[in-house]
Amino acid sequence: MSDLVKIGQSRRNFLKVLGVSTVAAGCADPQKEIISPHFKESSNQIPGNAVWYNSTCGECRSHCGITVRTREGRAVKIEGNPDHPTNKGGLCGLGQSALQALYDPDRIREPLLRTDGTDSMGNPKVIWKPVSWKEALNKVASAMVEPGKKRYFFTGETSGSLDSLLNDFVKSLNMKRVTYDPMEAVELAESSELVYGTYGIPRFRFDKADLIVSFGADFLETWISPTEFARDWATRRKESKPPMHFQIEPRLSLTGAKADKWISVKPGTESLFAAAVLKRLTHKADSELAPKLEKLTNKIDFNKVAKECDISVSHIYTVASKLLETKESIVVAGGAPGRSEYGKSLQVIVAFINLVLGNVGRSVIPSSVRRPATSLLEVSKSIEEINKGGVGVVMFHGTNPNFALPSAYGIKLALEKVKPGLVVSFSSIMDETTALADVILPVHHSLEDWGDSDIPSGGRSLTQPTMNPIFSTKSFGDLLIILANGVDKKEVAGGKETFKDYIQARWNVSASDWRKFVEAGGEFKNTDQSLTITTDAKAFNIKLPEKHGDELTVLPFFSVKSFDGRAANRAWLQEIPDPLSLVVWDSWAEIHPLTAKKLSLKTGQIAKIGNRFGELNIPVVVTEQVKDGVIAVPIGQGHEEYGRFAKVVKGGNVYNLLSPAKNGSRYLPLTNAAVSVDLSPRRDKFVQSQITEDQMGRKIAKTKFLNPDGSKWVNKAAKPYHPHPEAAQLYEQRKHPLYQWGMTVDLAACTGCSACVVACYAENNIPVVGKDVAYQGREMSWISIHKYVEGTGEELTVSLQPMMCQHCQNAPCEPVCPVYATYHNEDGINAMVYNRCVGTRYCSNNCTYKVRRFNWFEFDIPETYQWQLNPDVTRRTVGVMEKCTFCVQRINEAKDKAKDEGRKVKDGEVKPACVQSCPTQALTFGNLLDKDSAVSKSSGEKRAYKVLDTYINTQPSVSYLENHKYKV
Amino acid sequence: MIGVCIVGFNVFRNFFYYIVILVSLGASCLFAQTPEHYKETEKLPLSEIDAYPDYPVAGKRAGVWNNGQAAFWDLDIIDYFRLFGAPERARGYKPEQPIKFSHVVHVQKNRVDCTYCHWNVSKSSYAAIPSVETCMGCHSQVKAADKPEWAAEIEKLTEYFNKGEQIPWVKVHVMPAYVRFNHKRHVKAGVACHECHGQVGEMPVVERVSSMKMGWCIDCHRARGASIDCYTCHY
Repeated sequence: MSDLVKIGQSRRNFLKVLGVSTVAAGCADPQKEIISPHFKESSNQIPGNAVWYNSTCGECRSHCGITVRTREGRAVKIEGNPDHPTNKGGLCGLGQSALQALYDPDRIREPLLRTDGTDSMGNPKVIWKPVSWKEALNKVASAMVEPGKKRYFFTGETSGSLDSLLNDFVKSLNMKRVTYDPMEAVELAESSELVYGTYGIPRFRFDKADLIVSFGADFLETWISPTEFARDWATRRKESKPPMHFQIEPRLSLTGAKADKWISVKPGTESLFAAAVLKRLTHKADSELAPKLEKLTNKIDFNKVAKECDISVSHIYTVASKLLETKESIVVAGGAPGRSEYGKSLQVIVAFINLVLGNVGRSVIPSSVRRPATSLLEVSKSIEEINKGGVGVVMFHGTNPNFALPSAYGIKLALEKVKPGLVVSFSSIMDETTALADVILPVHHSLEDWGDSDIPSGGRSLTQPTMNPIFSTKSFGDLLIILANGVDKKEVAGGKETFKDYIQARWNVSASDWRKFVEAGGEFKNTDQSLTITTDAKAFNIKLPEKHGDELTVLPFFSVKSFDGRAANRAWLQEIPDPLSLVVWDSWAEIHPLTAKKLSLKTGQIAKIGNRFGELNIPVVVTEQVKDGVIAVPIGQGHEEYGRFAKVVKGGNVYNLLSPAKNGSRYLPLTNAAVSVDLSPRRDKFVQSQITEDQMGRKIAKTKFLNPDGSKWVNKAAKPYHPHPEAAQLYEQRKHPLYQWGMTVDLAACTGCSACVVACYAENNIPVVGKDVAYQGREMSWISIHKYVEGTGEELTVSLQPMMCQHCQNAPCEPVCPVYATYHNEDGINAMVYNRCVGTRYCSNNCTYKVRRFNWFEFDIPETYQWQLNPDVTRRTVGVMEKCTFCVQRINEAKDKAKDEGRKVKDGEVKPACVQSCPTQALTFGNLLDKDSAVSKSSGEKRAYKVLDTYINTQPSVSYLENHKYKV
Repeated sequence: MIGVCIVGFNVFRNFFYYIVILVSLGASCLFAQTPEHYKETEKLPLSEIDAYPDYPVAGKRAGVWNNGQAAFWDLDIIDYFRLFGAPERARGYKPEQPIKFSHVVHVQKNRVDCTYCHWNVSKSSYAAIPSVETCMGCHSQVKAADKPEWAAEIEKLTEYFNKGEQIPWVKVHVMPAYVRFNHKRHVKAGVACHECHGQVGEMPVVERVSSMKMGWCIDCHRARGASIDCYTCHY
């Protein structure tokens, strides 16, 4: 339209012309919306109403009880089962994210057969051919019974009916069962056998102790049964004189961040420290035990130990004297730092300490329910045997040794030698081990399957299917029975045809009781466990470490986000920042400032960390939260298979840096890998979710320090703080007729585990943005854990604070919206109406707490993830602001139900997703107008304060209870 | 003629584009046709309005709240000439259904209660159409052999049932995605079916008799003392 230019065409006129054509286009054909009813009415499924199923989580070995919300036959949200004795209603982030494993877009959907082909360039490539179940099972069955061949079954840890079925299966088919779970605390079970006479992981009661001493055991994150321990620990933390907590480890974990004192020792020397402490306690032992313990510890020289651990000797005396003065204590050891070569010695010494102090039977209860079968010795022996040839079949289920074993073990080469034998993988995820298989038989996720497990405190937990299988997978138990029956070994399953029948027969209860247990999620009862202690003489022959080297070592640790890498393919867990390093979508190496200076590395630079076994190319985080000379790297990233969200994180697998175990050890030592560090040629973005960890003198996350006797510790060196006087209000205050929703967050109980964040993502259809958009600071989380650091060296204090929309009564965001899309409703909630928002973003500009999130893009959700979306929450399009709504869909649902019954909403009836999921119940929600509600009581506590309210008078509806720590 | 155009173009060149728009709008009126959503869908074979004289007939919009108007300017003609936006949200939307199900027969002749088929309107926030099995409850026996056009429709239904397929009914009362309407709450509050849906018993083909615009909803909420908080419906 060149004539437009001639007559001085302006942009406005051009747009008017465009407007005409758009009008013409608007007269399009009508769009039809199809409404398809059910074919058959179901008695318990009314479209629009949720159906809840009780089951058991299968993400780790704690087996917490869950209740799953299903809508129209699809599981959409997992919550903790309040009646289950292990977790009592809380659920960790890993459990919440199980839905993303169920709906994984890269899940294997049907049996696959490996065929070798070539890609477009002529390079050899594996082509997976989908086959029918009949063909796949026939192939496997014929390989299983080939005479004269060796057969192996590599499994993860199993319990209950699956354990018994698997053991019968391998026995009758003459297979060797090799168990390998990298996280299972084998050395703890072995030490329990040596010292207490009971093989199995003991039960720990953190609520029955006034003093907690932990040698590396991150009991609030990943150790043994974190949800249970966090809950018990938190019940005592909320008191005005909480238990004192010492954490002795080379890297500050979340557990260490909550401790009163973090003693940073060199990795591998915890056993020396513990032995020194034991030496101070031997006089408390009984007459039979005392001389043996004295003999064990008499060579200990406190000053030498302090030098080896690289700490001040006074720390040993402090810990020992505190243990002596406190009547009820608990001493634990483990985690990744506890997995040194001397890990078993550490556990034995700690077991003796507990025995001497009288903790056994009260806070440490030997138990034979959870018996680890993991044995690295068996794994390496089996790999050697496989290398020798003559193998008929090697099966894998629930374990990924090609990733979780150092490359030095050579399992990849061994499996490549199995031909003409068969490598079979019972896995629904294409992990590194499954990628080497010849036949893949995909199995159900635990949400689609039957199963059971034994609860350590007594009773049994039951897993039931919460929905029909999505893809053409089969239950693992069913497959074992089909294979056994198919090769004429019917006695394996005892004549049963399905795994469900097998479980039911094994439970041996009446039909009505069975139905009751299925509905409840298990049989919950307390079993009185009688206690007899018999100490083995071998316990006194443990070896202690000698000289510790001075070289740079790498310390792999189990991360709260992905444990040992099993959750690396879940988009939520990659996107949610690690609470202590704040890194998203990446792996990282934590390095102390002194070491970083020597290596001239800064935060964000990518370092090449390598030794003769392998190398990593990962970004560096310079922080005081790790011992100098130690490089802490999280386990679980660097997958080469495992799905699109795991593969996108490059850098390398930290397991590959480790050397094989020596001396027939059953577990893999993690702390002895010496490395050299250089700047890496790799260049990539490095994303942390916060720009600064400094509170800048504002009291955002408050910590009150206490003297050991419980009185307040006054910092004489600090400047006097004059709090602002109570502000007089200029405007008329709001009146709430029926409800005023409010929340309290107890910072003493919050561990920073981020379960609330995952729960919020699951409940509110929050999109995952990916690394590039997160780099711009545009992640979409409605609640996030903010981390602040104060002090340095011995005075280091890390504060973790969940921050969500504060629903201010005097909100700065409400008056500035030009279209009234955000306003204050009569229930006290700051409401956000998506369809009215025009995307001015003034509200986010004004928000003091920066909790508003703008949809800068239309985010693509993979098709299978769309099945997880909560139908009660609107999916926001591009250009619309969103933020925490206090789960208004749950509030409306509760009000609806209450109105049906003609009453008001009861206290505790409505719980937003974050409040419901918190393993420590640090969050409380309810009606502030009701003086008897839990939230009114906790908002009125002495510890309660509101963030920034005294500065700017926003009057938030969320109160925080300040953290308290002893000054030791 | 050309000269006039050239002169006119130069004189009025600042308003040229306004004139183009007005003229084209005016011209479009000459070519106006009945909008798609207002067309009478194919009439059912037997004329049924007069077929059941003893049923009290009041006109299909009788009893609808505010006669289906959101406000005084919300006249039928606005939805008739709906130039842009979704036609399925206009009054007079009468889509063709896969099976020519006639409410007239079932309500006026057989006197079936609304909640016999639409049983979960008081149990869930999403109102649902009855399942195929509900239909077959009667129609496995009722084949209407004496009326061949009706028998053909029942044959279609039986085919869906035999194949195990759901019937793809076209939704008439469509709400935009940002509205969360709670059906159970309205039924329990005592709102009669015809106040929103009109006299469905007089519709051979289900038609939308109310625009269901927000103003219409707020009007009734105000009159009856229900909540007009935004968060009640838009969350």
